[in-house]
Amino acid sequence: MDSEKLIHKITEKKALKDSEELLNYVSESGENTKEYIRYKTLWAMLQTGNEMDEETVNQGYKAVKRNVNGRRKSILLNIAKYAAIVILAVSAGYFIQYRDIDSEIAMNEIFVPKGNRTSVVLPDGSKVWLSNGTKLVYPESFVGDFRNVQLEGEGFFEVIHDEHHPFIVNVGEHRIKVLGTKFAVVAYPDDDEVKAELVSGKIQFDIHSGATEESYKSFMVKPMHSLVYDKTSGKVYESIIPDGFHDYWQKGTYRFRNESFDSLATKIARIYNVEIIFSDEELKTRTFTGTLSVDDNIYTLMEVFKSASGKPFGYKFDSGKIYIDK
Amino acid sequence: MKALTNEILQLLNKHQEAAFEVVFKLYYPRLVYFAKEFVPDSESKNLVQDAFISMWDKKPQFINESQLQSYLYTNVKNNCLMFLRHEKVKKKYKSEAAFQKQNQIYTEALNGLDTSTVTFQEIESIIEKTLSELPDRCREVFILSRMEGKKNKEVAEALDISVKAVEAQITKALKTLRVSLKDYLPLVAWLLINVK
Repeated sequence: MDSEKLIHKITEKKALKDSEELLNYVSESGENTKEYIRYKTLWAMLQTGNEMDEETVNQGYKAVKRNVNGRRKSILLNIAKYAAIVILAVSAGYFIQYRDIDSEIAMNEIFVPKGNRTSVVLPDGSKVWLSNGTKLVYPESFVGDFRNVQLEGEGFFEVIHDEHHPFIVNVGEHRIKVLGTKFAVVAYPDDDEVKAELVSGKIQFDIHSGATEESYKSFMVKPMHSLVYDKTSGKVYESIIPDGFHDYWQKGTYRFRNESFDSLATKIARIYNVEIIFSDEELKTRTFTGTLSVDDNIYTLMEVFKSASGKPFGYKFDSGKIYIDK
Repeated sequence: MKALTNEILQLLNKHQEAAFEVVFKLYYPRLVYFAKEFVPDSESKNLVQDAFISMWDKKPQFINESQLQSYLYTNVKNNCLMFLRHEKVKKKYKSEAAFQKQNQIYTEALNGLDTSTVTFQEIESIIEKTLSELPDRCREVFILSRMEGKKNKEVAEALDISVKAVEAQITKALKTLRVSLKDYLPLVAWLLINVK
């Protein structure tokens, strides 16, 4: 096939898979592939779309208007979902399993896979938003003096006030005790820290210490402050809740300031269900300031990081992993 | 087709819906036809709508139209890549060699497509120059076909030449562009639209 014929095939808008002649030509050599790609992309960029009638454009605009301001989840999320059916055999955003603990109260367990978010209303009317890769265990109904739940991962709690029945979030051996308030807990088992972030009200952060099961060191968290317990050093830090805190839970956007690439990579991995591999330790220490949205697609995000980085870096995708190199 | 005025860009930066509508109606068709080159027709509209929804929600600020163009094309490109990636996974167990090959080549093509602002700006003058160097008839055919979006048959009728002759002229124009754009090649040419 000469290049005239090749161009002719492309301008006929023939899909590659539908033309045996084209497929054979392209597969013949790397040179041919390159030539095809060059013409194909040039042709694609040359499209003016003037063929589209006004009605189709208007319909498109209506569809967009109906769905702006987050009223629709990104279509890409839907695509991601049906891909997930194949990869993980998971279609819905979460699983619910029932299990008996002492055959009196059924426990509900919700697991939110990476790349998903969900919210749940607890039996007392309290609401919890759960982030990626998070597990929450709670009883079908709260009985006894305490309202106990178990969390592994990240959740934002809006707890209904009930001073007679304190609400306790158990995170591993530590716990957060509240009467009624809004707060978030970040406690992934594989993270080095446990974090409680309080919006309003009052919470008590009990850090397990000492030999007995019931010995805790207790810390009060102030409103609009967060308390971080470092599991390795055993130290406790207090800081003010960052500006973008509400956006993260309500709109799914995460604002970061001078955050290291390493730390961001952990978050990105949870949000997008990818593994990030750095070829060089220096890359991990680079810092970024900006915003990322849970609904962004990962490609857009990597491009943003790439353009925001002072020093260049490259990345490539390969079966669920992102390799980052200099 | 006209380019956007500065006023519209400023209004867009202020998140004015009317300006957003103007931008949508100008760019939606060409982005859909761009996407159609790589993804099934049924998906192309959704993927482009998604880019616009995200643009409205994120309120990016644009200094000039090149930035806007770069933003939109980059987003649509990435959405197409995401689609291709999932399509590949979805059909993994189907032993359709042609399909897998197409997916691989389209992915490679999109990955290599530079949609950054700088490139858009640089290439503009090159295209303008190349167009001016084309023989008259060739340029005429190319403008009618690519800028005004006429079908080959319509171009043939308008210029009173055969459809074969139209095809030949388009091929000639693409080859010329290819030579002068060899460094940038897979880039843009819808910038042609801005060439008076």
